[in-house]
Amino acid sequence: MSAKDKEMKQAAQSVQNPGELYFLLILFSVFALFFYEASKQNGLLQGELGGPGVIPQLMIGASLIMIVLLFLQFRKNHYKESYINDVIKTLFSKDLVAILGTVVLYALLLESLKFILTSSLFLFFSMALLDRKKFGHKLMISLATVAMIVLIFRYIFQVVLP
Amino acid sequence: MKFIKVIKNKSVLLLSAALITSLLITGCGNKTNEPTSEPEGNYPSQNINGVVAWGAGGTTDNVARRLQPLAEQVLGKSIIMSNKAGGAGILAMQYVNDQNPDGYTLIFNAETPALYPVLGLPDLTYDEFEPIVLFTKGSSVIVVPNNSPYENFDDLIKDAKENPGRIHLGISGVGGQPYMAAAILKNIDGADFNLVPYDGDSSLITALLGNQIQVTALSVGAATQFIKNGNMKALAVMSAERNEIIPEVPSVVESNPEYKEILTASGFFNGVFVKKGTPETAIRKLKEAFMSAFNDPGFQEYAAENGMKPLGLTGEEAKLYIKKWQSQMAWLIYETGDSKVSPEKFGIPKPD
Amino acid sequence: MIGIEGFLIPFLNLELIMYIAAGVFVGIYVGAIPGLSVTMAVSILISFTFSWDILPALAVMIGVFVGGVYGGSRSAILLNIPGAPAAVATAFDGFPLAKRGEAGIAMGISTTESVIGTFFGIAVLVVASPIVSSLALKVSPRDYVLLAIMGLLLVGSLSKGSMLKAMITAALGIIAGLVGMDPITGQPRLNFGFDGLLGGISFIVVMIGIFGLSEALMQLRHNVQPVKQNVDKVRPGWDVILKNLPLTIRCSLIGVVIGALPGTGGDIAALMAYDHAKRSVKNPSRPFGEGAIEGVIAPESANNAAIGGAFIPMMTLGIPGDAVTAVLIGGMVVHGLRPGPMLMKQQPEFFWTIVACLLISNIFLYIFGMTGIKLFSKIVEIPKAIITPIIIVLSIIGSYSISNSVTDIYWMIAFGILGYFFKTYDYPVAPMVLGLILSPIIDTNYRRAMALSHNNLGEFITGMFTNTISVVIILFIVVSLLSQSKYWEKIRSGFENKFK
Repeated sequence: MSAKDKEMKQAAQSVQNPGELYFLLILFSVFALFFYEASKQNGLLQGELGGPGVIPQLMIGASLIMIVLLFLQFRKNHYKESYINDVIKTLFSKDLVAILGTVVLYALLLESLKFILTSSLFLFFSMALLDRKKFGHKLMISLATVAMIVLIFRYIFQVVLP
Repeated sequence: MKFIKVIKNKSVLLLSAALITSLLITGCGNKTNEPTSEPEGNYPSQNINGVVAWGAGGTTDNVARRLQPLAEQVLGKSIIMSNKAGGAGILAMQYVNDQNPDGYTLIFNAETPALYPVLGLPDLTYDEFEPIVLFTKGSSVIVVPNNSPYENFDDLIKDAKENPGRIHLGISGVGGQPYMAAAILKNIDGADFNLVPYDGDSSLITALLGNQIQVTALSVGAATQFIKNGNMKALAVMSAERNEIIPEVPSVVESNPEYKEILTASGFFNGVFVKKGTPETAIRKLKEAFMSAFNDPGFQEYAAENGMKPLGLTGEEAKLYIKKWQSQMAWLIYETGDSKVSPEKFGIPKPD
Repeated sequence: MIGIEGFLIPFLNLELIMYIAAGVFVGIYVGAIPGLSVTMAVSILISFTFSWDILPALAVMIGVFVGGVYGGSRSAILLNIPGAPAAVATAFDGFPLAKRGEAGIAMGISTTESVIGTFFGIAVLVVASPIVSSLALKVSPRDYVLLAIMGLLLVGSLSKGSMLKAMITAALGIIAGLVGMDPITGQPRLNFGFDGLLGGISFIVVMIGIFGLSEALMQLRHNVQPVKQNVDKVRPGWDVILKNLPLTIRCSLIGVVIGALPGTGGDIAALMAYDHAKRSVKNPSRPFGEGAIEGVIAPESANNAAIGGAFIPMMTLGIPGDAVTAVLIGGMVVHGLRPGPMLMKQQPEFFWTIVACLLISNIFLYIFGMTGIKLFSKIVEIPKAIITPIIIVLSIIGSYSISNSVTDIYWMIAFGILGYFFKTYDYPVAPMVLGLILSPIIDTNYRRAMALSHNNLGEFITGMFTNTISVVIILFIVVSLLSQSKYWEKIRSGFENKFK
């Protein structure tokens, strides 16, 4: 690595983003859950070297250790966790939450309202949400995009759309 | 900003509006691939989904894709093919089982599902499905690398008996053809091999040619060119008689007559199925289409060239064939100790 | 060279040339749209071209292959969403280039390098097929495991954040890849009892989520504005090409070798090449990850060279070098041709015809690749309010179309959110993608290697030191890792002092 890269690496390691420790905790719990699941398979824990559980147990076990090491590294650099409010402010902005909400709604409604309607609605609403002007314009673009997608996916590639 | 200007152009807008409206109208008409009940005699009224339970390029896939255009000609609608490989075919079986039994989802699969219960897989056998046509019966040939010390089948068995569990035999996964071949060898000749799992004919060929495994059982179609080219030595075919395209290779029966019984009743088959409960009209039409495809001389030639025996079984005959395979092989696996579950538990009768 | 007349067939047949052109064109756009995969396109083509003669069918499929591998780089550069796994590494420096207004240059160099890479792959295919394929056969399952570990360690050690974070994401990738039905025993694994998870988590779905959706979310959060693109100098000058020729050749070599190994393809090749570039280029035009042109040259030449590489085992042994060649073999069998040693012996013209098709595809790749760059660069200039929802819809449809399931959409969203967190907290995403790709390779090959060692740990370990290829790989890993650590500096300065 060049000197510049090494410098960047050093710099990156000493910056802390709010919420990092919480995230680490979440990661640890997820991996712990996986480890429990992996212990159900025949692997190292059961003394079998060639079973389906070997690699999962190995990998998950190693990850748990690494998370602990990372935590220790954080302590060494004197990280302090910020308040929940700060964390939320760093992670989420109004636009982000709104769009995320519409995306989930889109996925939920897709089966019942079918593709063309849901997509057109989603496109129009999210575009309008992000930039509150030129609504007619956005409506046209939404419909045109949906038309193009239907053309390409359903007719040319024969892919089934909901 | 050319792009934005293009959109602002009124004529483009009008054109898109026209395009959209027409698409929406036709789209709504042919909206989903999820048909509801329909009047008799209308099947098929839309395109059909054909799911292949194995990977692209494999035997089941090749046979299915060969027959698909021929069947389409009779059906009048397209069969849209997709591959859903994994879990020895169980993933595809589960997927098709989740769909409506309306005749618009077909599954192309091989003989493995009949054995799911004894293999510890979910109990989704052909009992839940209706066979349309069983196409071909394939056979395996036992092959070794060209520099192998084994000159014939007896050499192999002798060495396996003297060194149980030492000789590497490549399999394609639990329940696959090489696995069954190994089980049969163990049951009849007491030959115990060290089974090494690969994922199909291709990786088995690679492993054999690279001398990582000492023996495997390949489908005749896949192995022929290597045998004829001298890269592999064929020791025996796992069938009651010699195979026409490699007539110089003896059958296992010639080494040990006890093999005959197991290898005559039935064999590795592949076919097309639908979920039980599919309306009779659909089943009849599908049968007609696929039998016509099966009887096509082009397909028959393809099957012969690849060492497959044409079956063309439908209805009760097909079900009987599957049942026979199931009972023979399930009990065989149980008897050799490879299954902890008795076939009795699943109502599989002992072979007579 | 026998059969070389086969080489001339496509050149003299205008119809075939048109088919190839059509294939390349379609391939580029299929590759560029995330969610449409080249493998899927080629599968559809097999049914589509069933009634055609073998040559036009092959011509189209080869065209789509060549176009598709390149096409993924388009969306990778413009949107930070790789259209195909092979383009994952291209986004690392390609997208930063777009952010600086140099999308045109990025696409221009990606096209040129792809063309050079393909030529290289074809050259090796023509010259060294038998040697390469016999070497490929010698690579044992144990070597595959070592190679996979090497790949992960290398990519992890060079990541921007801490190596620990990289290893964590890599492990997560490997674990995610193991969810589902175990291909060897057929037993469910890591699925928490959900039948729906038996099919595992589709790799493309994860990729779309982790790259596509997370990028959209990042841009929303940080209010990124579109940058005006500078499209005067799209075609890279000869000086740029020549200066980087050694790098191109090395990366193409990596591409061919990895492509030739059965079961590994352009996606792994691109990531390894990118890693190699990072290690070997001491003074990149810009730091890697911020728009270094070398960061686009490496993966693009590698993933296209891998095409030629994948054809080597396919033609000489009938064994697929990667997923697309597996489908191509099926396509040929359906037409009555079985690739392998017999075909090479009995109909050697086929080999040359395929080589010619590859060459012609490459030419069209350059033509179609270079045209439209200016238009495409404009995509980056579209206001975020419009492009972001469109990207999201494409991501959703792409995820859905893999196996017609809405569940996949939810997975995509989940991984999108995960990717967003990763990006916010400086967890590198590349190791996770590599972990996902390598996961089945590591697991199955480890278990094969164990079975081949009769489940005996002693045999397994001694095997690592008695096999030449394994030893070479282990040495490589050790040297690469050491060179990153503090000891290397000491050793090096020690050497220098001795020889002063």
